[in-house]
Amino acid sequence: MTLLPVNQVLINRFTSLATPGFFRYKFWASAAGSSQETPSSQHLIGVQNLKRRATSQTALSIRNAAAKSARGGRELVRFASVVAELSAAMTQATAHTVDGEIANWLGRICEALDLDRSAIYERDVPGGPVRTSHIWLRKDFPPFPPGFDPEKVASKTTEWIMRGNSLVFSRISEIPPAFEDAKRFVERYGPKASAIMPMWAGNNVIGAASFGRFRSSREWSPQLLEHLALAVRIFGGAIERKQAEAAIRTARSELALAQRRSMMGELVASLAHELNQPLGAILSNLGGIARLLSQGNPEPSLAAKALSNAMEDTKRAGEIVRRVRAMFKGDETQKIALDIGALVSDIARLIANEASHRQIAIRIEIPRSLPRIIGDRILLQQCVLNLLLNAFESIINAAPQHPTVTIAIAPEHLGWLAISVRDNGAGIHESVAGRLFEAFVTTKSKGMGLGLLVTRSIIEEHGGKIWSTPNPEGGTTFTFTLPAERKRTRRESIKPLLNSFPAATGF
Amino acid sequence: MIVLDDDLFICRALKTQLEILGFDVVVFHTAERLLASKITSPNICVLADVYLPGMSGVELCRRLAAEGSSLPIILMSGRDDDETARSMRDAKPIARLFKPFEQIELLRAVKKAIAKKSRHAQ
Repeated sequence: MTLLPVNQVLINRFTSLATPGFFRYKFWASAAGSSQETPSSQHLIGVQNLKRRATSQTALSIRNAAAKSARGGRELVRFASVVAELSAAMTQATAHTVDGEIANWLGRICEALDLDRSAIYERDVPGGPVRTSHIWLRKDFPPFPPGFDPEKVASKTTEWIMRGNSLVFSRISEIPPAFEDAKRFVERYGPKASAIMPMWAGNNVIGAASFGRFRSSREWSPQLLEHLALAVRIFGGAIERKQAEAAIRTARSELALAQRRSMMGELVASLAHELNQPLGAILSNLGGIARLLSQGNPEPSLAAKALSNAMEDTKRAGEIVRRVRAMFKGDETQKIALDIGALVSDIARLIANEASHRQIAIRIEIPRSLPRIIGDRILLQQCVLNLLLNAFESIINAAPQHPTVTIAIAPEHLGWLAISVRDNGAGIHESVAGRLFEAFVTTKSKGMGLGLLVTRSIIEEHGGKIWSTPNPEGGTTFTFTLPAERKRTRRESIKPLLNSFPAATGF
Repeated sequence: MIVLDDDLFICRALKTQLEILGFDVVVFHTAERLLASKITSPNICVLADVYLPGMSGVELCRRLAAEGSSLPIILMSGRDDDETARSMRDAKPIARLFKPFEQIELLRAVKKAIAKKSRHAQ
């Protein structure tokens, strides 16, 4: 293994063509063509060109390199093992931990290479803005200047990097005129030596990474740069995965919102009625007060009672508006510790008018004490509401003697809570039973058939399962499970769901 | 006066309002309970909601009419869709009220009920 100094700018294959006067033309012309190249060959071509130039033109540098090669070799070996560890760690990272991991590993890389600042820049959408997403700083070294934007301070250089090329310099004086914007920036704020490289994911550049040393200049061997490029590629893979998961999450929450809005739309008459009740009560109470006042307030205690009634009614009306508005909003999902019993009762209250309008009795069976669950209130309400409305629909089709929907929560079992919605309606026809949770499968005359699909997606997103079973006496029971909140003091392991609930084997 | 509504807030408000108007008020939440209580005769009228769990206000109207009861019923509802309005009309109550209603409407309905009751007594 020969170790070569890179004590000049490394601009991939164009380095050898960079003669004064000729440089600018060639540089941009070639850069435009270069985006078609595959990423690995581009980087390697750059290093190879450099190698040729170094061997033919800078003999002095080679002698210097030999003196440093022992130290550089040790550094390389150490760094290679850091990259191997990084690779393992990144495959384990989840969408939630990946950003923390990247920041942490930027630090590990800087420590291994004795660098002072490292950053990752992400481009979230192709052609979109490039933003600084992760940064690691050695203690007491300067962060980026306030309002730092790579595309503003060095737009040409950023564009060059985002086309898949690298800019590596060992000292500021080596930055050629074509990178004047970058040079101006580093002269003022920047490191004395830096490697800035594109971040590849597959065949696309999805960002960039920079590694800088502020205390002094430093040499970058081609092998080291290859390892560094590999590390950046590992980051790129992890970030691409994160972005893909975020896109799926966004699509899922948009679908959930659309379905929720359409469901609430169906309930508009009921909700208006629900709001009418407290308004009616307010009017009654105020009417009473007005009458008392017109008579010179002969019974102040009665007036006070009516007034306090009216205030409570107003609060209730506000509460209904708040609940309904929350269901229409498309906020980011927010998982908090929830009392699922209260959530179920809340929804039952919201739908009480719809039920009484359809002459359906709602029974609620909730154990006295339940552990809390971690989840998004609105999304879980949506699930319960979907199942309830389905149950109503099924009952209306069957018109049973005593139309009843029972919402029950089973006591905690092996760390799981099971919530079931049972109806004595028409049941589910065999022809759709197996495809119930697919899109556009519906037994309703109106409706898109998205309710159960969205419900399942929400439940699974919360770590639970959902399934349906026919009742022996007719009708259907839908059951879904959610993991109970694990208290910090309890250490017992939670068994897989399928063992806990025999009925879950259908999925 | 009997107030029959499954909504606790409505019951409380109507009770207070009717008490201010000088009536004694008894509250029920289901028609079944009201029928089981057998306290119908001395009361002036029933102020009943249409949508109730179990027997509806409309059914209660029919039931009392079939039994030849002299107890007038004022039907009230928070819904004013055609279907609800028709079923209320068909039940032939002494008066119909759509929530939210003003005191003057309530008084007018109660007056009608009193007039019917006194006619019946003669």
